[in-house]
Amino acid sequence: MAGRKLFTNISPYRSDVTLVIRRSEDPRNTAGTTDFSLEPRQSAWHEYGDKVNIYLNGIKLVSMFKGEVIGQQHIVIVRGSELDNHLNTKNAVDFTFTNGSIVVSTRQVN
Amino acid sequence: MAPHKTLINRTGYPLDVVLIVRKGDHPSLTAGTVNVQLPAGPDHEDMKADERSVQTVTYGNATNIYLNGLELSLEAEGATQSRRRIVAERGMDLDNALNMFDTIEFRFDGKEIVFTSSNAGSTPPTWKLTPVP
Repeated sequence: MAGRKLFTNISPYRSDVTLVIRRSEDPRNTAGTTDFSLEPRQSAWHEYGDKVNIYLNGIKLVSMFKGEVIGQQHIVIVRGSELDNHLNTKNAVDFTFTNGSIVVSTRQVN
Repeated sequence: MAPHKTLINRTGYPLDVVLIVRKGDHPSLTAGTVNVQLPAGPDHEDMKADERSVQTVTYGNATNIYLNGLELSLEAEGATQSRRRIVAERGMDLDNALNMFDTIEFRFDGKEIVFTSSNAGSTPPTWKLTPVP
């Protein structure tokens, strides 16, 4: 079974999301990306990878607000790092917006 | 004289900065980029000027005097964090932050790289307290 998470855009701006999928277990290897968009306050489940490639290596976000385009990316280098744990031990990812930054947080939903 | 900015790295990590230069005065056009690497500091006396965590960087030329955006990246706690902010419309917050000040200071809050702009020559505001009679 592929990886699957609930993504929620709590921000007031549309967000383009790219998931960077890890090839197997080593964060140095990538197995492609998955793209989708979330409208403001939209929540949706998305699948990524396959039965072997079940981890995320990172997340890229692009939004437009107040006359600017803002892009962020957060990429895991070391397994067990805070970002790795955020992306790979929880099944829900939330995006909020504070002071010109998209803030990513994770939680477990049942 | 080419335009310049003083960049200050207070993130605590080595920081890569890319200044994106506007061509003329319309944000839809770009006139190249300038890459700067700012060490984490603290600075030492014997460091070269371009190895310091505070650097004054020139960009553009006599006609291309504005910045269109910034790319920032650093490596911290087993992950790389990158941010890119690009002006889409003149006169908005980011355009003003990049083009009305001569100093940009970077910080890292543990998750995001943030920056603030200021003018080095400006006098900080002062308040005169009037004693209550």
